[in-house]
Amino acid sequence: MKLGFRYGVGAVILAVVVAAYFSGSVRWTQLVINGLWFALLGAAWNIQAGIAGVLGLGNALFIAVGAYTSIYFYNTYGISPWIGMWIGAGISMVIGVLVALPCLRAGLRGITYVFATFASSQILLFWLLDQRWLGGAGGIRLERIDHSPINFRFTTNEPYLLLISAMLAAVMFFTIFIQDRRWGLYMRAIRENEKSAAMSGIPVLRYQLIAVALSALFTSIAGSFYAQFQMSVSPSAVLSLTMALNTIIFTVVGGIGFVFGPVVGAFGLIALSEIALHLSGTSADFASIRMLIYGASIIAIALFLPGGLMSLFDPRRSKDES
Amino acid sequence: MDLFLQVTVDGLVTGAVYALVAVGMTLMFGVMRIINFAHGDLLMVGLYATFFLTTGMGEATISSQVLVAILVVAIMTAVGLALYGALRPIIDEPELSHVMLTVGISIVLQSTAQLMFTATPMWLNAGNWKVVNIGPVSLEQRHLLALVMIIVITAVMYFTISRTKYGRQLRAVSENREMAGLVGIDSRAVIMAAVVLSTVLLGIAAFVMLPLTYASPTVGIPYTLLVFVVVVVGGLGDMVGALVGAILVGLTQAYGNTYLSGNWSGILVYGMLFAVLIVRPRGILGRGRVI
Repeated sequence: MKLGFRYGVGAVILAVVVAAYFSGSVRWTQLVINGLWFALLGAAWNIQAGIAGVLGLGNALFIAVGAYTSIYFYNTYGISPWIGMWIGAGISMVIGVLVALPCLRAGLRGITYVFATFASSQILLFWLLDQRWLGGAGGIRLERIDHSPINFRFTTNEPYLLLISAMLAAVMFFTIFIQDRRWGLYMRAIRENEKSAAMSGIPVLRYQLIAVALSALFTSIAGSFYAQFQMSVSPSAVLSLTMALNTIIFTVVGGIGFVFGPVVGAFGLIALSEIALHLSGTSADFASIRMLIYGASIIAIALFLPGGLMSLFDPRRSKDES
Repeated sequence: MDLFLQVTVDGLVTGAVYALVAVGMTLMFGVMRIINFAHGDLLMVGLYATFFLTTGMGEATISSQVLVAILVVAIMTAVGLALYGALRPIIDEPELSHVMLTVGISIVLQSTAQLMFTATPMWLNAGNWKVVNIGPVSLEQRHLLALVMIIVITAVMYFTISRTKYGRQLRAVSENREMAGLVGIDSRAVIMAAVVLSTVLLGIAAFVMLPLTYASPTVGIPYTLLVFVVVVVGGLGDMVGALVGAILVGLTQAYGNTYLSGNWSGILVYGMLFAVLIVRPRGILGRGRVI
């Protein structure tokens, strides 16, 4: 039953991806890429918040670092974004740990940790605005657009669709892989009760930092993907409160702590907004109507289904199992 | 020296405006332990209410201004009751539910405003508001009003909280809701009053601020962010702390914008948030309530 359900959700999502791949429609591939990208952000955030219980609101920082690093190294040194994205991931992991360490040491948890990590991403935002060499408020773009797989640039959307699917699948498999092994068990023990985890001899701080570093790594890779797909990045595009909150919203609407939570949330909310688009038709207000429905569904989930959509199918089972 | 004085006064005035906006959030956090991500958007509701009532009244006289203020307070009381109704079921849920619900409310308020009033910023015709000169320092009359208002409101709130029955009940509920219930305090009524007080204060803030700013669907977002800094620096739930935090943020911005280049004031403000959380998680005065 449990595995069957997991396969069912996976099959539906795979079917959507395959359908978009063969649709030949730029709009549809773009939409599915967008959904998978947010699912990837959610899956990365899920590792620190859903599994280890470290509730950070600073992940937009890692998107920015990943995006800026891969473009900067490509423009300045001609280094392929395939390598640049790992440089960015390394920087993100270091920043992530450097920010998280003093916060966790100072005992910040819950809402205070949320504020501290949000402050770190705001500091990067204001710093970037003054950096001429990184384009200031306008951001940077790929200076030479060489369509070639080596340069992570493709002429059509389809290769990007395959890549983002592979990245998301990799993070999801990784999550499933660690969940019942030592890392995952330690992290879940810390999430459930930090004090008793420490009493059982789990090095709490170390595993919290590992969760943050993993989250930073995957978010940064997603940031590099964003940079290559959009061909540019600017401070306000990635370092907004909206971006940080969207990651959390998609994950929680799908079901925090569930492997499939982020992807179900992202696809669910994007499907809802497409339906809203069709219902409002040619109305000039469609963007506002879409936001209104988006907001209302978040309120509905928060009030009536705090476990997220995934908990609908399996309300009584512990959230790690399905 | 004149410049320094002027910048200091500007910083204090900005701080007073932030304090007006922030007091409600810290009050709500004190009794509910909920951080309201829709706080700035509720201010936006107050700004629209003030805008339409003021333009609806036509000629601005003292009595029409007083009437506008009373009506704005009435509207914000209703808004506060609705907010309490929405938040009540999730008070005891984990923080993530608080974030989700208030973010949802924020998005709904912004998109509704967009649908009803479009994105065009609505400015009030400043009319007869004048600049006052005190020695080398010049000050907008409305800013002077903001300063006076924040002093009056702080005094009234301080008296209410430290001397009245409601204040004692509020402090008891902030301290421990269950124990307060055991000694016969109706904690639901106390919390409801605190939420309504929070939105009413936002209404007063909107009334004071409108001639100097505008009403638009997204006008609240920067206030939400700055109020986060103010209430954390002051200590979550500490009202005197919020006043201190607001003045610190206002002064930091004023000095930063004048004496430092580029966006250093932004870095300083959020650097202060980060540093205070690390060094004094309970706020500058050390009296905040951290969960």
